[in-house]
Amino acid sequence: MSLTSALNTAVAALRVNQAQMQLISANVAHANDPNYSRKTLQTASVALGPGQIGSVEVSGYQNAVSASLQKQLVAQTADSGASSATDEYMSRVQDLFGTSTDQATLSTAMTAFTTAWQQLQSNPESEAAQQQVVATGQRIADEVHRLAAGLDQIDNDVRTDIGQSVNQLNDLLKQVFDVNLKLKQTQPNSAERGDLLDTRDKLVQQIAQYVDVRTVQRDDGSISLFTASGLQLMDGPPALLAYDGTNVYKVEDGTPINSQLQGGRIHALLNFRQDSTGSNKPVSPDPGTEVIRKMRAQLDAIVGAFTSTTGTPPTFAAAYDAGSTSQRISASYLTTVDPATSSPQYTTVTLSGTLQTGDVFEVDVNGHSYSYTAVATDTSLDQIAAQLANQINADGTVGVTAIPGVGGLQLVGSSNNTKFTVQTTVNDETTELSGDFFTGTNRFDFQVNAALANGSLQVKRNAASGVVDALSSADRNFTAVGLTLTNVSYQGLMTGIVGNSIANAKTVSDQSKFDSDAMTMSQQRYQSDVGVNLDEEIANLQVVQNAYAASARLLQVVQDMFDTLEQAVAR
Amino acid sequence: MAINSFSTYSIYLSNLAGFQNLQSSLNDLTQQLSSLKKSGDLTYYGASGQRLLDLRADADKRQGYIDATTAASTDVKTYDQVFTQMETLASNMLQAFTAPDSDPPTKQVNTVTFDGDLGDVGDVYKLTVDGRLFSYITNGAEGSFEEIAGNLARQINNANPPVRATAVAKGDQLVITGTQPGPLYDVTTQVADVAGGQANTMTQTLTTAGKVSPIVGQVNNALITLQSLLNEQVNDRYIFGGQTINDIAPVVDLSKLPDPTGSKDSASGATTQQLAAGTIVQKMRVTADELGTNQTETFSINGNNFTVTGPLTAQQVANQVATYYSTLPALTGVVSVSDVDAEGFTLTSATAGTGFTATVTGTDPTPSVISTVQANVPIGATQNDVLTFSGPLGSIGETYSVTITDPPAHTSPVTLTYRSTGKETSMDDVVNALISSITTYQPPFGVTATALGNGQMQISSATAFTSSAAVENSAAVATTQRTVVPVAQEEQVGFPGMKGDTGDVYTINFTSPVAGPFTVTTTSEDNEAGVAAKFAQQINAAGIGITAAVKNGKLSLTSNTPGTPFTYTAALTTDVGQTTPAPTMTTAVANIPAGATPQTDEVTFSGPAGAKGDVYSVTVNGRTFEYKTNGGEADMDAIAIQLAAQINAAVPTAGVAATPGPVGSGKLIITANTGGVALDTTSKITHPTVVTDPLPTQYNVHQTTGDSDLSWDRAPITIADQLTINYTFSANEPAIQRLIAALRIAQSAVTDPDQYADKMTQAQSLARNALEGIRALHSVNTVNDTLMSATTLSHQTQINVNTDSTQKIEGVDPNEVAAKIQNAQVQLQAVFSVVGQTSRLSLVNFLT
Repeated sequence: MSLTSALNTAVAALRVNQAQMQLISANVAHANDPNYSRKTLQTASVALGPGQIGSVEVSGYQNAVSASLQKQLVAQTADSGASSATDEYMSRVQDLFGTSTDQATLSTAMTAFTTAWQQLQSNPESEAAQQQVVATGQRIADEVHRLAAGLDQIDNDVRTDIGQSVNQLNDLLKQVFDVNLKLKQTQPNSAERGDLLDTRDKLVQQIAQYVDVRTVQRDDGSISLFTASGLQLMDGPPALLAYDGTNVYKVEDGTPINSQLQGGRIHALLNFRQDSTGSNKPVSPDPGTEVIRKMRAQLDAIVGAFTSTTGTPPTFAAAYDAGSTSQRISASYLTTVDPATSSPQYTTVTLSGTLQTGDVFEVDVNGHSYSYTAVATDTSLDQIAAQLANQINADGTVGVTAIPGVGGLQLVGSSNNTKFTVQTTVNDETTELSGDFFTGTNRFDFQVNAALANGSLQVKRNAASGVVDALSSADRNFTAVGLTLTNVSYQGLMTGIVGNSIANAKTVSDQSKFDSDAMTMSQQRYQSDVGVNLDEEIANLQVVQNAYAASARLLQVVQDMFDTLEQAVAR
Repeated sequence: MAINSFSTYSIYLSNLAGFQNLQSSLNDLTQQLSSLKKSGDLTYYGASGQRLLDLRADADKRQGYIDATTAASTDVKTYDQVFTQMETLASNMLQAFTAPDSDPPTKQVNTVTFDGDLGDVGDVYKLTVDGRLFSYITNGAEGSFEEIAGNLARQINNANPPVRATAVAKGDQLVITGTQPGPLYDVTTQVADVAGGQANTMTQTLTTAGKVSPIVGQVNNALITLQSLLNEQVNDRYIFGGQTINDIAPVVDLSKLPDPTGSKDSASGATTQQLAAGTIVQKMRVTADELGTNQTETFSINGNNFTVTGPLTAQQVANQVATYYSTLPALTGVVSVSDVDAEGFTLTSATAGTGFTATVTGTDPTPSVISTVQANVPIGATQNDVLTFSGPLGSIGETYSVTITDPPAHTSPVTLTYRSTGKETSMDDVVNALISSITTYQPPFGVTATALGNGQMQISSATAFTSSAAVENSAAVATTQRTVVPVAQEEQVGFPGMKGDTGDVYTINFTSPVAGPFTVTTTSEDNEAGVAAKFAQQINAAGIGITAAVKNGKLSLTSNTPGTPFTYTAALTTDVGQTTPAPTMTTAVANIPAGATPQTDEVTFSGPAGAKGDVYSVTVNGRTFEYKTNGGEADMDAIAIQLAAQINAAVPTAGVAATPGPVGSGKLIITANTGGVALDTTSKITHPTVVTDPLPTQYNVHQTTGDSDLSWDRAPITIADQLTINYTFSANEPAIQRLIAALRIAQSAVTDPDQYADKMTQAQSLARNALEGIRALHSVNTVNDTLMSATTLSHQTQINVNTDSTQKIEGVDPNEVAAKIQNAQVQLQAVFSVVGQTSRLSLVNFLT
């Protein structure tokens, strides 16, 4: 071995040490980069000749890898992505229904409604008490409307979120595809490859937020992506996914892939919006599944509870309808056909009760007042109706034709699409609403009877006692999608709906926290394995520094030897 | 070489997680310490969240019950006080009603006694009563002082304006009685004898001093107190005002309500002008009076005079006068005579609208009376009816009504009413209010109503109509067709001039019916009465339908069947010894056969229909028929129809036929099945003292027609789940109605000595029942009070339990939290310390 060889070897060693120093510097620089994996330098011996110990050179770079922990982290990320998405929207649902006892508006509205009826029962003549009954009833209806609208908004937001998530997923898949292409173009163990691998791992981690993904390493350095259920997301070109508001599908073949998207945000959000109505499947007991459907159904159950007249004990509607009127005689009206472009308005005025001589009937049509006082020869309400009809028909300016009938008269507009107003009184008393305190069949059209709201009819005062009993009766059963309540009152129905929502939100929240903690733990473990340990790097630095000094000393010695040799030769 | 197994970033993550967890824990604990709740977020509590909501809702519900109960309890406490006072009032009044039985009010009675000798002409009898002078000047033909007393009594009773006393002649005395209890009037007497005549006296004595009831003031005060109690207010609500009308005082001034035993006001109506071809004819009834010796009466019909001279019985006067005029050519086709009976006869104009005059003059101090049954109604272009309301004002809720049937506008009767407010200043106020109702009524009437003043209203129309007026509901009976009641023939047979012969034979032979001969042979001991007695014994024993008796020493023969005459002869068929006069035969009472035309009485009901519980009763010859209203009757015709059906269905038969009158008349026409049978028909309307579930306007005067029947129901309140009680009481409670009725009847009794005992007995009974009823109401209220208190306590207890349960779920112990905070702080400091120490122990630090 010649001095020159030794010198070359020392120079090579210096080069390696410099590379090592640069690598340590890079590791230290990325010590706090979560997307950076620790790099190590690969060296190789270079033979200088037969029987000579070779020099050294940098053969490549290697990323710290922990495949099992990475898989675990991906899975935990998918789980956390799913549960955090569910928790996010369940929190919004809970915000909607109230997050404290004071804000549980369904429950407080019901309490106010019950109290108002109690007050009316005590003071049936009180107009304030009557108005309070109507106002608190409308408050319940408004609350149902607000919740229905809020649910629709959440549903819409979830839908948008799914669409955006699918787009994000498509973008991430494309980025992974791009990285795959670059990886194919880099040399194995090259420095660039390590960065690309870090980028790819980061992208996979991000994809896991949306869907539980599995990776398969290909020989060319690229990876293929599949869902946990085996759906191929990328093996070569990435799959392009789309969302049509109901299903996520592959654009290339239009196949819905909802069921194959296991784990991750998209799956959770699809579950949130899932509606298995008509599928003959039992409703999912999972608190994060079919949430929108369940809550809508429960709101409709509230509507049914207030409008249904069947059941034991008597329902609110049955109790109200069964109350006797406090008025001996009354006149009510109902618009049976609204005016339209092809038809006039039809309104029926109904007279009921026991007729007495001297009763004053008044019908006000479009501000024109028609009054008739019953006389001794009036023995039936038909005669009263005929008298009123005669008066109305004799007035050519009101724009309405009256048709007398049995116990009432029908008012028909003279022109299509022209609305006319009607108001009726008997003996200056506004008629009491005989039935249907609440109207509507679903959460959207549910409301206090319009006649009560606009004051054309008043609350049936004698119904208060029965209604209070009905409201306080606690042996009712309510059934709605995702909720079965037994032996509860109307108040129990309200608190049951809110309480069920609370319990579900709590379950989801706990799961989300657990998943988040688990993901953090996995991330810590993964980072422990593949991250940069500064102490270790500093220790490595000492080693490199010593090696560098040794190599430099070697050069000095060789130099000295050359100098000695040169002096010897020169002599 | 590795110093440790963790990467720097991993350590950072680990430290960060530790810090975050501790910081989060510290934040939560701080929040708990400030709010003393584990969390304000229901989600924190999970499944316990619903429990929290349930506890909160249950507490709210129970608080609602407590609030409602608390609001109602003020009423209940007030009811307690009111019922206590009401019980005391009822008890005191019951005692008062019982105590004054021995000391009732009395009317003043003065007795005027006549004495002296009659026969003078020109004696002047002067009598002053209540400041009014009444006098009688003798004509010398007075048969007795009773006739003078009778003459003065007529003057007093017919005085216009009336005096506050009525008078009646009894023998030689004139009894004057006050119209109201208490000392009302003064009486003075004076007789101015004609010069040279007999001395006569007329003296008066106060037989009974007038006295007012000692409880008048107590009754009035009780009514005022009761009014105040029933108008008690709590929070601007009248607690006795019922469920829906408690913004109006439930009772008015109770002391001014109409007399429940009958209104003191009256209404009448008469047609003053009829349309052509009218049906109303003038009719007058002559009630004959007996004439004493030398007394004369001159009747004048349309100027045709006829004089009768006493002594004559009333029947004889009637018979003679009727016979004269019925055959008088001047009256043929002008005035007819009918219904001649023992008391008088009837004069009827032959032509509607054509009247006649009838007067009587003479020397009889108490002459025959000619009264107008139907005044002449002239023919005109319109029919005019005059309705007259009269009587005292000041009552509240007195119902004045007018009923009109004016086809074709109204083919059925329309009754318009006015309920007095007590503020009317004259009956014209009532009339004007009714006219206003008539004018504004729809559909409009075909008649025109105008006020005539003095409580009179004229209703006019060119088309025939009927009208009537009433105060409250009234029933009037009028005999529209008299029947001639048969009179039993009475003959007197005298046996004058008996000489004591033995063997004289008197013979009485009846030719119709054929009987006898009956003979009496005298003995020396027989006198006129003895012979009469012997004949009476024989005739009565024969049973020939004639009753014989001895009257004034003579034989009196009376037909057993009024209207069935008999004929006989009486003769002295054997006269021995001295000559004895033949027996005398005198008709004491002429036979009057039963009239062919049966009597017809008309009962006219008037006033508004619709009251509930009123009892309309008609009594015909002792048989009483009643109909109790249910409030659903459309008009008075309905009541007449009901009563007619009852009368016709009577078992055994009532002997009459009843038919309802023409539509709208409100009349019940009762006709005897046979002529000659007099009908004694009376009718009355009894208002209930207690009305169960009264209809609007029936009980409380401020109620209006449109008010509900249920307005006075007791208000319910639910004080707990499925526990509802009725906690209010209305002024319509039967016990309260009874107390009011008792006081009002007592108010009537203390001004009515004639019916004082009956009314006071009724008042006592009502007050007794009222007291029991009010005690029962008080008991119910006490139960309510107890129940409400117990339930409120139960609710409050449960709320406390709920609060405790809530506290256990969401509450925190501040000391415990403070300790946890301190612990967390120590932990945090320890973590910082460890992290810092670890950093210092790093190789980097070591090397540097």
